[in-house]
Formats: sequence, structure tokens, C-alpha cells
Amino acid sequence: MPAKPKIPSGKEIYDGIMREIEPDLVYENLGNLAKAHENEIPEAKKERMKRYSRAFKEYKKQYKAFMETLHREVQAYKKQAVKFLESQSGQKETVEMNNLESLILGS
Amino acid sequence: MENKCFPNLGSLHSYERRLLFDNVALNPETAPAVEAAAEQTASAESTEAADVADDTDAVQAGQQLASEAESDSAMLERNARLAKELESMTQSVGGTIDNTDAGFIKKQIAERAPRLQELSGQITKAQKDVQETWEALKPFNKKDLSEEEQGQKKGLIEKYNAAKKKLEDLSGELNGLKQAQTDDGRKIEDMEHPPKTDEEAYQRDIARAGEDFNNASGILGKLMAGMKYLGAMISMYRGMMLGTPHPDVGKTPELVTRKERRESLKNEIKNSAKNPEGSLDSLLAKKEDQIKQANSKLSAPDTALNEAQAKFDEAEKTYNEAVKSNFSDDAKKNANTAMESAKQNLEKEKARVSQANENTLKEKGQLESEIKELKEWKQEVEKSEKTLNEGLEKISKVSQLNYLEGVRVSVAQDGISLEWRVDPSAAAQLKQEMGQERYDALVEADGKVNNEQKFEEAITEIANGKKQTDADAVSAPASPQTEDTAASLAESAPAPASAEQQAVPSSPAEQASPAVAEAQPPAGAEATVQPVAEAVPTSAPESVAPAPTDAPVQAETEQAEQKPEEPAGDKRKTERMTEDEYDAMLIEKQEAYRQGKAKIQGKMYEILGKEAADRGVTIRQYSENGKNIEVAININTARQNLKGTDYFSIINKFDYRNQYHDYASDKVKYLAFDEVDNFLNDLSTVA
Repeated sequence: MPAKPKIPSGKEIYDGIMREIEPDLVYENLGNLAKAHENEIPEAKKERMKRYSRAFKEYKKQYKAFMETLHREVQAYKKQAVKFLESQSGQKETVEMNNLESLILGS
Repeated sequence: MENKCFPNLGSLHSYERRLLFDNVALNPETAPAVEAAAEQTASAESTEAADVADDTDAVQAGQQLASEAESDSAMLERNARLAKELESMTQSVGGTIDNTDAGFIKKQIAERAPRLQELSGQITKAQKDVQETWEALKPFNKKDLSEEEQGQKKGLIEKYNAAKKKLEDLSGELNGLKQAQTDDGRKIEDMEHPPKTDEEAYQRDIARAGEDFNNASGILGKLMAGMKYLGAMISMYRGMMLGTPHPDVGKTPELVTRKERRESLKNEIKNSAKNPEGSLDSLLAKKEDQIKQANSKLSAPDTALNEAQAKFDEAEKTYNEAVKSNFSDDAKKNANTAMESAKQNLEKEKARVSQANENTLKEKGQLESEIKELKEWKQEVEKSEKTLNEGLEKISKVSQLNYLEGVRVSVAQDGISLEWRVDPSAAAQLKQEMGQERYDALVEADGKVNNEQKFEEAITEIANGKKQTDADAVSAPASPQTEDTAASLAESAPAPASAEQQAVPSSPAEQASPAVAEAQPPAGAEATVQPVAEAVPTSAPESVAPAPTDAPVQAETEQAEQKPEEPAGDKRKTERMTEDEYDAMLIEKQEAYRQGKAKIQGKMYEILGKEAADRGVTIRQYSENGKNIEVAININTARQNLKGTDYFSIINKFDYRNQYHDYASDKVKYLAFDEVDNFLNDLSTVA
């Protein structure tokens, strides 16, 4: 049987993607944003917000791609499980048929 | 922080992603479906709020995205778990694990257990999040908010909605899993311990319906479960009375024999010539007496046999003496003949006595088995009576089917049947529900029900009609009372503010109530469950029920104002409420009742003192759709505790309505929710 794909938690997914895009916005940093930029001048803040907006857009793009992949992995896993079920069932039937055949021929 | 679970996909090069994608896309059969599913999840739930204006926005957006990811991840996890179940099936086909149905079900139960535990922890955390956001919103309970404050408020509302959605999702999953565990547990029980008798099967049905009744949440849930419970009890009642076989019980020859035996005993009980008293007990006494007679018969000496034995002994003695002496051959021959004749006679007598004893023993055996059957039957009937009465009491106390308060089941005079009875002291409400004429036709003055079947039909009909009646009551154009009620509740919440201002749940009750259709008119009964603009919480939310059904709080109230021309209650006129809406409406009323009760209780503590108030004042929800509060004050208690005060002034604030209460020492007041404050003011002035 194939191994069940590892499905990260929501926070892991978020951080995994966001860390590479904008470390400021990693989940654990969110609570400290305002404090970390307390004495920021308005222009810098405006620039930072633009950066954040871009980061969120990029995150969404990457998130979508990531979820597609994960969906497929789960789907493939399910499919393989069904195939395995069918093959196991088939093998069992073959063994039973062979046993039956040898019984008939032997009698 | 390095994350070991997550493959750092943020840094994945597009080439690598492409490879992953191509690899999966090799299977053209599933690709479109997968894509669609992923698309749906990733895009539908992802908000468009990518532009952020300040840190609050950024925090909010980040948290929202993480929360969406959480819910997508949970969905995938569930999907993968399904696959895991398939895997279990493959193993069972291979014969490596218990491949019986029961084995598979047990495995499913075991596999769900960790998730249930996990969910329980997650729900506690989610409840904490909801609570914290709620607390955080409190400071915004003012009208003139600065732009920045409005922004913060908006952020918090979204956070609150996200937290609540998460809580709902988790609760929904938890409830689903719990139900699956219960269902599977019952399947196992049925497989491994199938009921052997009809009585056992009926008892099992009732026990399960009782379990569901206990686990049901929400008033509607309780009502539905209560009806199911009542249905199970009526089935049992009929089953026990008429000997209707339970469908789950295998029809073994043993049971068929037993059924026949009971049928024959029933005929004996009802046989006026042989059992003039006509009861199980009288027949039992008769049969026990017959046993005694049989025993006496068995131990009594048989004269004819004794004589035959004596004659034979004598003849044998004569013969022996003749043989030893010098008697002639003829004399010896005659002695022998006489002895043979006596012997034959003795054998004959022995055979007769033996046959008679055999018959007596057979009769005794039959009697013993009938006595055993009668005793078991008696026990079953008594047990059924107890079960049914406990159930009825439970339903009338806990569910909205309180008209069943005086309905009881008792063992009939024959000792094998059950009969419905109505306790005359508690009959008033049933009369009201059933209608005087119908009640009088079915129930005699002493409370005896004279037409069992029609009575059952009547009480079931009321239960079935109850939901309908309640729904109709709120579906109809708002009556003055419902409008008053709504107005009163609206009063208790701050008035809607401008369209720009944000809607915040006005009371904890809203947490457990759906925000009714977005564009619903604010007036009427349903307005009580709408989020009220600017109504910032004044009290902490209670722990949220396992399955809150409310939709996220609306961010804007202008939707309600967009259709000012829509007359109040329009939706109610044209559409029937959904179950969720109905449930929410009842929950809302329950909450209004709870608040009203708390106020009255507080005042009564103030006037009478806690102990006396707890002892002497009964407060409960009254009327079909829970619109009123009933307050009963015990005059004696009040008198004792109002020394030096004009207690009549207080007591006279209560209306004495004898038709619902026989306890003449009580005075009762019925209050609509919006009358509570006025009533308390009245009390304050006299106290």
C-alpha cells in the first residue's frame, strides 16, 4: 500500500509558503507587527503595506498550486488503495478457484 | 523556524512544481475532477482582501488565510482518512485482520477515537478564540468611532467570524463523528448480542431513543428526539399489550412456543368460568394451589395398591410354606396359582399407580412451567410500566412535550395489559392541547383512558403537530405579541447605527443562532435573531454549544436597509422556515427566557432572600412556542419571608389562575418577555 501523504496543518501550510515570500507575515510574527514598526514614518509604512499586499497575492497563487498538488496526491492515494483492494480480491479468488480445480481433478 | 512537516513549498522552483503537476496529470481520468476540487477549495474560500492598509488589516488577512488553510487541510485529511478506510478493507479481504462485519466496524470505531480526542482539544481552543475575540470587541461599544477604530473593529469582526466558522466546522465534524460512533456501537451490539425476546428488543429501542434524547441539543433537537422517544414507547406499549413481534427478533421455535404458551395462558386468565377474578395473579394463585394438590396426590398412599401388595405377600408366604412342607402336588400347584394371581393383580395396581403418578408429574411439570411463564410475564409487564413511566416523565420534564406531564401507564386489572391513565390533577394541560371535547371522549373522569388506540393517536398527533404549530406561530404575520417581544428585545439592544457601522453580535445567544437571511426585515419575531448593528456584547459568551449553526456575523447592516419597502414578515408569509432557522428561533426564545428568568430570580432573591426564593418561587417557560414566562410564588413562603412588609401588595401582582395549577397556595403570573421589566418595576415599588 502506498503511504498516506503527509498533510501539513493550516498554519504549517501558511508559514511554509509565507516564510519564503515575506517573513514579516509568518503566523507567529503577525501579533507583533504594529509594535515592531512603532516609529515607522508614514512613507515607509505605505511602502511596507504595498509589499504586504503583494505578498498576500503571491501567497494565494502559491497556495492554490500547493493545494492542487496535495489534492492530487490524496486522490492518487485513494485510487491506489482501490486498485490494491481489487488485486487482493482477485488473488484470493484465483487461489480458491485453483483449490477447487485440484479437488475436482483429484476426485 | 524550520518546519519538518512542510516541504518548504514556498521555495519550490516552478520547474519542480511543473514536474509534480505533470506527474499527476498523467492520469487524464481524474485530473479535471481534482483540479475542480482544488480550485473550489482554494479559490472559493480565499478572500479577495489582499490589499492591506495597515497592520491590523495585515494581521487579519494573515490569520484569515491561515484559517482557510486549516480548513482545507482538515478536509484533505478527512479525504485521506477515507482512503485509509479503504486500505483497511483491503486488509480484511486479505484475511489479515478480523474480516467479519463487526470486526470492520470495530476498527472504524477505534480509528475515529484519536480524531475525537483531537477535535475535543481543538474545539476548546476554538471556543477560547471566539471568547477572546468577543472580549476584544467590547471596547468598541460606542457610536463615534474614529476611522482607525472602525478599521480595528472591522478586523476584529472578521476575526470573530473566522473563529466562529472554525468552531462550527469543528463542532460539525465532532457531532458527525460522535453520531457515527454511536451508530456503529449499536450495530456491534445488534450483531453480537441480538435481542432474544420482543420485550428485550423493545427495551433496547427505548434505551437508544432515550440516549438520543439525552444527547439531542437545541430545543428542536430535544423535541424531535422526544417524539422519537415517545414513538418507541408507544411501539413497546402496543408490542407488550398485543404481543406484536419486534421486527429485529429472530423467530426461533422457542419464541413461537412461548408466544403460544402465553396465548393459552391469556385465554385462561380471561376464562371467567375457571378464573372468575380474571387476573394474572388469581390464575397464578390457582396454579400454585394445583401444584400443592399434585404434590399431595403424589405423596398420598394408594389403598388398592397396598391391598394388592398385602395379598401378594400373603400368597407368596403360603406358597413358600407349601413348597417346604409335605403338601400334595395339587396343593402346591394351587398355592402357586394363587400367588401368580396376586402377583398379576399387584403388577396391575403398580402399573395403574405408576401411570397416575406419571400423569400427575406431567401436570405438575406443566403447571410449574406455566407458573414460571406467568411470573416472568408479570415481571415484564411491571418493568415495561416502569420504563414507560420513567420515559414519559423524562419527556415531559425535558422536552417541550410537557402536556405529557400527567400521562401515565399502569398495569391493567388483568395484570398482563397496560393501560393509559391521565392523572386528573395534571390533566388541564392535556385538555388544553387535545381540546376539551376530544379529551372528554377519550378520558374518563377518574383518568382512565377508554380508547387506547385513539388516545395514542391523539398524543402522537399533538407531538407531531407541535413543531408545525410552533413553526406556524412564527411563520404567520407577526402578531402583536411577537412584535412586542421583538420590540422588547430590540430595545434591549442598541438601535441600528449607520450603514457604515459594523454589526457585532448583541448577545451570546447570537453565537448559537444563525444570522437569518441577509436581507430580512428587522421587525417581527425573526428580527430577534438578526445581528444588531453596533450592539456590542455586554456579557461574555457562554460556552458555545457543540453545533452552533449560525452564519458569520454580517459585516454590514446596510443589507437590511436595502429593502425598506419589504413588509415585515414577508418571508414568513411566503416561505416556511428551514429547520436551522426554526431551531435558531427557538434557541433565541430560550435565551430571552433565560435572561428574563435571571432578572426575575435576582429580584426575588432581593425581596425574599435566596433560600426562600429558591424554595418558594417557580419560574419556567410557558406556552407552546415558549413566548411566556410563568412565575409562581408560594404564598406561604412569601408570607413567612415578608414580615413587616405588605406582602399582599407583592402577591397581588401575581394572577391566580387555577386552571393550570391545583396548588391553591400558589399565585401565578404569566409574562411575555417584554413584560418582565415592567413587572419587576412594579415589584420594586411595592417591595
